[in-house]
Amino acid sequence: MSLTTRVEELLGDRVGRLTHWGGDAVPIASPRDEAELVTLLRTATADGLRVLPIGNGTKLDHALVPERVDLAVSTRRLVGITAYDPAEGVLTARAGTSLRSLRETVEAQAHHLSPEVARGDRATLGGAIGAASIGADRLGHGPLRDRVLGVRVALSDGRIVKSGGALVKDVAGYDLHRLVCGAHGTLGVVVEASLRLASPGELRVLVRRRVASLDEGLALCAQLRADVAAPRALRLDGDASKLWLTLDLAGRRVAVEAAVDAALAHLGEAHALKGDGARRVGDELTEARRERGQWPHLCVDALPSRFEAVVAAVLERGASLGARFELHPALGLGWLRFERAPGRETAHAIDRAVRELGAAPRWCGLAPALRTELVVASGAPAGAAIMRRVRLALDPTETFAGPRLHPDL
Amino acid sequence: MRSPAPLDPDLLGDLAGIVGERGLVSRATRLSTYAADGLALFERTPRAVVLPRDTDEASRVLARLFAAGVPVSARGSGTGLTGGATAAEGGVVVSTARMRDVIELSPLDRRARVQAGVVNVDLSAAAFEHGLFYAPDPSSQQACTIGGNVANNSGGPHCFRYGNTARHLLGAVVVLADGEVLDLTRTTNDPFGLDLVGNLCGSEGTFGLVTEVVVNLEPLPERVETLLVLFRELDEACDAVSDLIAERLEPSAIEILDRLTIEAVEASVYAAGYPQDAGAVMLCDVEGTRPEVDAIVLDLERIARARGAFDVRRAADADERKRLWAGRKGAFGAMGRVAPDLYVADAVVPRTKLRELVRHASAVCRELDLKLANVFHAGDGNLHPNICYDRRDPDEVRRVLEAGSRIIAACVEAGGSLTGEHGIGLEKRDHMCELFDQDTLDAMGAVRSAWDPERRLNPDKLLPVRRCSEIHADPSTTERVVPRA
Repeated sequence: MSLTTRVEELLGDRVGRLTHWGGDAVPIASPRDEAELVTLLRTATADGLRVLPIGNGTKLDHALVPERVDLAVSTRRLVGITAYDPAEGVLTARAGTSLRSLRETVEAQAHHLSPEVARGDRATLGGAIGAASIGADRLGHGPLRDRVLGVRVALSDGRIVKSGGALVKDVAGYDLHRLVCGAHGTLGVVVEASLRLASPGELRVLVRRRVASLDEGLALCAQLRADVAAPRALRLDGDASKLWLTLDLAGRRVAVEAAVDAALAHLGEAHALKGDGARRVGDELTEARRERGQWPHLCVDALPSRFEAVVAAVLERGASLGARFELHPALGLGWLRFERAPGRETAHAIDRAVRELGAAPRWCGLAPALRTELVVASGAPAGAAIMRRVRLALDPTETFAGPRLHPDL
Repeated sequence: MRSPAPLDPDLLGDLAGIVGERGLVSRATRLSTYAADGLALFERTPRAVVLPRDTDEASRVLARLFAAGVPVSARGSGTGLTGGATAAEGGVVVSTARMRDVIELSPLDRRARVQAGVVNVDLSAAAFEHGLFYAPDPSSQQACTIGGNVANNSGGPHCFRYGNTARHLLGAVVVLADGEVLDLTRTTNDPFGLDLVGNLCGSEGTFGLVTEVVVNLEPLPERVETLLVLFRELDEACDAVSDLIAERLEPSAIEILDRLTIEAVEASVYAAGYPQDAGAVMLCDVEGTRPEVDAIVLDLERIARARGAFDVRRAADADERKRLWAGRKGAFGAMGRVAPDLYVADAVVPRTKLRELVRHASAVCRELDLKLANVFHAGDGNLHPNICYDRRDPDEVRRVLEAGSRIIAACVEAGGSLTGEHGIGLEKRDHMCELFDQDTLDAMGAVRSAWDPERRLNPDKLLPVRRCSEIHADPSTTERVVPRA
């Protein structure tokens, strides 16, 4: 009996097709509940299938293309909030719930849900955790791994295990949720997660100004980082000919107003958008990371002190490519989208230059073989042997499709 | 207490050859100092204590002990409160007490690299001159080490705003059981591959010996105000905290001290000026710009008074702030005036259930004729019921442990957890079955084996050694977890 037939027997018509990477279409199974998911995983493991856990598939290119996928398992039907007491400040939801619906729910109760990611209407909670998505609000609210308080994860043998919980403080047991966050589904299928919510603040203001050059933008960002307390975001967007600096502030009204004054002292003339205007432009900036359905080619991750040098090195090696930026200098994070995708030599030259500065290049949207080459060029991550053992400890049959993080893992 | 068999002289000689004579403790009289950590109920004298000075020495020490088949327990300053730093049967303690260097501090990147034995408060002192500080601030911060903080994912009052150690940990150098050195430091925001550093944090010395740590530092706030809010009843203070959280008010710390704690503090060298006519005090820090702080203080006062606060006092100056916090952080020590020993419980509850669980703890202690003092991180729902006892009284010890177990069980039942910052160690090992099912514990065990396949590191800590079904059938503590009395 063919795989498709078996999956259809299990799930009826709830089977789609994954064609994202070309080649033969891979069936996508979307179980309705945990019991179906467990049955599916046990069956797949027993049959020796390679399973790719996905949400809605918005971030498939954030990791390596697996060598073999027989079945994609989507959590998109595992939706809904399972616990949210606004007085507690913690939300627990099923993995397939979209970030947008979660965000709307908590905003109605004066909470903020981080991370703010592009395609929030499609991006699922489980997918964001699997990819350790970096939100536009990371400067103010930290990385996603710090906001995930606990998860429940289905392992390949059908066991569902938990880590952490729904408490803002809890150190009982090993933090498996730290491993799951960013594992791209190589350890298990996230079925439910609890997040710590934040206060949205009384007032949000976006202070924006055109800057004449990247150098000026980076210099202003350095000044603002030193003098403006705890912004939500501080970013440069555009290209060499048209670059915008945006300072995103939220908090107590008096604090935000004081911060705006402090910022204007550095920026001179600038636009200050408040309320709905701030929200609209903020959302546009968040969405801009994924342009015309494509993610940026390169994310660079560096110490703030080396960020300027890293960006300069990329631009020098990729001078002929034409680049648009989304840069977060205070974090040392930046995304670059090239008008012309870099060829093999250029990509390697950029990659090498970034690594020589102690930063990490993360590529997206290149040919799979080139992407793998570039990851290999970085060498194996420190602790690769332990990572491999951790993976085998949780998925001894190697049911979950790999490699996603590194060819050695 | 039974003396352990001494180590083989050749092994002792090899260890001394690595760390020098001053780095090795092998005489029985000195070893007894290392028999317990801050939880005096559990004692086991190690066969030796080795104090390497750096990663290289630590690596050679662990490799030699691995070859000799000797289990190892890591220890910082021994301030832990769950028996986590006590030696395993036939084991040796490896202490980081001689690793005290701040290796690098980068103000621009707001990060520091330190040896594991650096004392928590010393790191903040080093950062202070650059306008920065290290946020996790356990009550023992004058003595506890950064390595110990990593092992236990330690917290402290200001973790209400800033989070536990895991949120500040950017990297670590770890020596594995067989002596292999793993450099998990990075010069990036995010890990490459799986987040091993996040997994390591809170592993209580069961994954490896942390020898160096990279942490992020926070900028000093422009202004800090310390408030002392006075209540007639502990219930009122608990309700006020739940209301503060519900209204999204976020001071940087919210602590509660009850009447017995206030009396003990005021009678001790930590006397802070807490009024003794209060049934409970709420101690808060509020940070930010001046107008921001003023606005938060106004809201805080409004909410507290609505719950019955009869006075709200602002610390007049930095000296008074320091005094108020010294009283809070010295509270555990001050309890020495009330009883010779103190069992500091650590449990977490949903923040909407503070009053209910604090009441339950009081009722349990009343029923068992035990004296209870409460001082806790109310903003995080992290309770610390402190039970006074005399360890020379076996019956009292039994009642203390029973009270601890019943309080923990009630917290878990209410949706809480076994520990918010002290860890599991020996003390709560068997309670893990109350919080996690066997499948989860098996998965955790499998991950532990990925780090330490032969279970040489702190082998008897954190995870139950029996199956949960056995523990549920016979909930009395296992042989290893019988405390001395």
